[in-house]
Amino acid sequence: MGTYGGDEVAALVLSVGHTWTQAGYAGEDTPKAIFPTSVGWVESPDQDNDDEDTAMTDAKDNSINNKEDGAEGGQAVGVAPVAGTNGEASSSQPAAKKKKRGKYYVGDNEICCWKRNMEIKSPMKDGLIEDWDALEQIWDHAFYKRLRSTPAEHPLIITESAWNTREIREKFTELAFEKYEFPAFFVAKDAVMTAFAAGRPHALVVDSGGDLTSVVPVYDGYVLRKGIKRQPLGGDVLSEQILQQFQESGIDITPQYLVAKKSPVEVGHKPNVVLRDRPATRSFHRNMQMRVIHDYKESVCQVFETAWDDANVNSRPQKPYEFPDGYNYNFAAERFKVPEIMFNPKELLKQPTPEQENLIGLPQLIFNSAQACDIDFRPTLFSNVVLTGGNTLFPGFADRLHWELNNMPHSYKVKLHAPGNTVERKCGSWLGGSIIASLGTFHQLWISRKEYEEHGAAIVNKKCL
Amino acid sequence: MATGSDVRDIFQLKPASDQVKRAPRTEKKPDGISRELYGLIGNNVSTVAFNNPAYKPKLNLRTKAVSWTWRPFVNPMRDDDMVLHHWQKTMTDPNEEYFFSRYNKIINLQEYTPEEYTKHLQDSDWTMEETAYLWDLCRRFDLRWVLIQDRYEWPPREEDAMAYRTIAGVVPKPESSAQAQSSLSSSSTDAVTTSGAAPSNAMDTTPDSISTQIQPNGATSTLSTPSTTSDATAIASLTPAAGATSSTSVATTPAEATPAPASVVVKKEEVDVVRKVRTMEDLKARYYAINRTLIRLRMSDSSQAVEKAQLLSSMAYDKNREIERKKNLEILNTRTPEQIEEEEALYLEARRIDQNEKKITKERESLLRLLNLRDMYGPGGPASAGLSAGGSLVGGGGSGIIIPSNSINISSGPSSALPGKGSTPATPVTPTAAGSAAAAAAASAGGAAASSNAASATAAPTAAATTTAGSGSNKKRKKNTKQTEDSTPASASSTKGGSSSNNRRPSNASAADAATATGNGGASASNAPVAASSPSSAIANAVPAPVKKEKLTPGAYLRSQKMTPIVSTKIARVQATLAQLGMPYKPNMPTALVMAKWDQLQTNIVTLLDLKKHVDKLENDLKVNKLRQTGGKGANANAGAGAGAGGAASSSSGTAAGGQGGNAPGSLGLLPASSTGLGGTDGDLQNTHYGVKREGAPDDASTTGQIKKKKSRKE
Repeated sequence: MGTYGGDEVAALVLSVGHTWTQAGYAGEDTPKAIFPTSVGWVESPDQDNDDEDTAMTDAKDNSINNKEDGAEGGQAVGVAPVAGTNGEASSSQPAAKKKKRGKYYVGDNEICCWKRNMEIKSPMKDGLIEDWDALEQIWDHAFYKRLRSTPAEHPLIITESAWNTREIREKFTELAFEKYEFPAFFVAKDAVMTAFAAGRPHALVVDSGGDLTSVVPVYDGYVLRKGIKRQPLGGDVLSEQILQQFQESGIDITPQYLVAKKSPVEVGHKPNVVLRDRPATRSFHRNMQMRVIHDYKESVCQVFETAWDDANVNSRPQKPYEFPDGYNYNFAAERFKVPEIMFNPKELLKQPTPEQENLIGLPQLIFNSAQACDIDFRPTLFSNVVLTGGNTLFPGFADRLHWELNNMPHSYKVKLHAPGNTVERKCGSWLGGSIIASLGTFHQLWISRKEYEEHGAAIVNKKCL
Repeated sequence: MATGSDVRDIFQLKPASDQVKRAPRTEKKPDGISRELYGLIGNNVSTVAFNNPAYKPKLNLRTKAVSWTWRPFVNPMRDDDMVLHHWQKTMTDPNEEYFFSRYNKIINLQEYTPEEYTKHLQDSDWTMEETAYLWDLCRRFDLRWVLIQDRYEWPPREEDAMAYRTIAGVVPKPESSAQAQSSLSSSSTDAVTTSGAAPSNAMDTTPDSISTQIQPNGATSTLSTPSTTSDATAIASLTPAAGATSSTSVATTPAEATPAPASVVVKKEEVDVVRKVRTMEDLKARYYAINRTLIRLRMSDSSQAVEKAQLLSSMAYDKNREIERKKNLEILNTRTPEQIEEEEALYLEARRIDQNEKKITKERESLLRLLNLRDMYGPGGPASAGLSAGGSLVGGGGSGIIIPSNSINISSGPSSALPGKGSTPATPVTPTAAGSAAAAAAASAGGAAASSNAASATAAPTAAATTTAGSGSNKKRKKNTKQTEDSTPASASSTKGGSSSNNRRPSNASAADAATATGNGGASASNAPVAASSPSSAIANAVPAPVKKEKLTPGAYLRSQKMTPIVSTKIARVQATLAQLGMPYKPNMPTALVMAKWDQLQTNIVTLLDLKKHVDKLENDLKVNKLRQTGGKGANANAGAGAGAGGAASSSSGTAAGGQGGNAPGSLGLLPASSTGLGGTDGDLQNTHYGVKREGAPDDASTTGQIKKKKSRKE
């Protein structure tokens, strides 16, 4: 028997987030594969409807059989029954959009390689799956290309957002059992898994990712639905703001794929660069720009530890950063300004869209979430605030949050758990899944194939609460 | 290498096995000593572990590696026989029951039968179905109330209902629930409850049953429309929409139906409002109430009485109290930092006041005692002898009381606050001031000028004035009295007082004399019409009560509170003395004047009793000492003791001593009754006077000096 109550059954753990997807084997401390959730596809030339239809089902069929090469559009292959059911299941997807897609590109190398007419998009929106075809591509990529495993031999545990809908989880179940034929399956809430990875039965999980920031109270391994608070303010919004900031000051961000030749320039001078002629889609260009900004954020940006103070901020050291086109600059106060949006979006967000008008600061969001829970439980929540998500990795973020939380009008003791290890912070939910799926006591919770066949996909709503 | 056994072999000794192999003595820890303590004192080995460095074990190639097998297993705790695989040691029994199944704990809920429910468990607020739903949630979430409350939705949403139905096997039947309601609940609530339940039922039924159900629901709604509740109108507006769904769609789930006409959506929201909101307290109250009833029902056997009581008490739940508690918690936890700070400050302040109160009363008591002590002796004692005014001195009993209260006021506050405080007591009544002036003068005379800051300050306005006046010429005095009447800023005169007392140190005695002389006027006010030396005394004469005002009792009070309290242990003796004097236990006519005198009398009696005690003790000591030692030595010791005591007293309470000095003269004049009645004891007092004087305090201006002189002489 395992020393720590562990009993490995070689389960696969998959965590699909808005920006990154993590996949690996249960019991390991890092995911085997981490790749962007965004998928790329080249729009196939327009054909008439009949052909497109078959192309679509063809693509599905192929993906089932792990053959992605045949999706050229025109080839007509017999329609597999499984694909048929899948088509029905994902009928909510507007059909016209789907028909256009040809070959999919998944993974860092593939989507970052320039291709004419390649569109790039994340299938997730607001923590929910929007694009099921793309999701299947991601699953394919994870299981076959990265883990190189045979799904029929492993149980699968996936994570989902706490507010995931019943339909989506049922679709997940269907996908796992029908298409990939996993022998057992489980859907776990990512917040619960994060709390698990942090070693806390009760926690207030603050997850700030690319798309959104959410605060989820966890009680004894269950999510408290009434306390879930989220808002579309995440790393992407910050990146947009940075991009805007640069554009306003006349700096154009040129991603690497456009750079043919460059020579060093003085600090703050115009870049001396020769561009390639590579016409790309808007989404691809955007994606590549975002990657540059992402790198900029990682290497330069910082959160001020206490309340914003101009004099104090200006006294902080500057940090140099060079963009792919050779433009370089020493960034001072501006590197603090953008992450500040997380704490005071109302005043600092420039040119907010209508839905961004009502954003509130992260501390307030946390407070509201805890406030929605039972009063006897609130002290526990405040002393178990768990920080996760890539957007929380700014230096000083945890300090600032702790400071802000302590300065709110309440008399609870605030304890912030923010793992210093970046992998742990980024892959919190995957890690939790990895731990839980390797526990001996967990194995009675799996949804088995037999149960699925007896009760249908609805069983997931009973077993995975 | 030769080992121990080789040596033994050579010497043909017995193998040492039994000697060397000491069985690890596991001495049992005696009861009553904690393990940690025993570890320290007990018969044991050192706590530091000596482990010899071990070399890395050699690779053992002889023994075979343990072999592991990838084996299928079935978890018996599962409903199905799902087969998973894991690695196991080959030597273990493959048919062994799955290890982790033992950790599967299932909560033990008290179940009830439908019969029991209908007989005992009905509640006008709860239907049988809802109770069943609650029970199901309790089971599913193992009585984690936070979760139960979080997930509680009755009637369950359509999608949850589906899951509930297909998996749990417990089917919440909307129609039957309506029927149950109508059959269970009383007719008055019937209409309302059904109307409340009906619309949500209509929405929450599964699509296939919609068509069948719409009709009865429609019927209910039309029936209940006249009842004019908002629910009823909601249903009325809902019915056509529901009917439309049933007629148009075959198997549309409401989720799919949402994009349909806006009216439907709106109505759905309305329906959602109808959903009952149950607080955690509601749920808990219901759960525990049912449990209590069930326990009462099932444990009717008298043999289980104890167990039953225990169970009942463990199931006790007071809903209102819980609600109240949570409300209070909420308030407690939503205080702003400012509020918390304020609260803390207030708390500290209260604590401080509380503590000061104790200190003040203690100080006050001791002062009072000392003062009155002096009062007793004033006229007859050496104090008067030292005073030039001598026989004409009649101290004011009233002023005797004032002074301590004043000095207390000041000692509690910083000296800078003096002007305000000092002036308030001083201004209204001049006699007071005069009296306290005497006190201050005496205090300074007592040699404790610096330390008696408080006292001199208290008495400040007039004290300083009178002191200077006393020592100075008549002209000065006039000027100063004028000042007093004008109630000049206290601070100025107080500093003056301080300086004057400092300056006049050598001529202390005379200053004090003068002070006491002026003090007389005030003192006489409350007592007998003696020579009214200052005009202020006349005013004072008319108002005897102001003395009491000085106490500054906050808020409403009883007059009886103004009586000086007697220490409870002495009450009996005081009463006995009163009886001896032929006085009643309480005055028959408690006018202010009478009470003032009564007070005085009582305190004097207390002092008298105290003194008696002291005298007895001292005499005893003296006797013992005399017995022990020869004459000369004994005298020495006596004097030494007296001097020591005097010194201590003067240093510890210069103010008190000063006060005494000023007040002393008044004491006996005050006691017309006691002086007659206590004739016998008076003599005693006179006799013992010297001892007391040494012990108690330097009672007048000159005493300290005298004692010191005595001391030095003796030495």
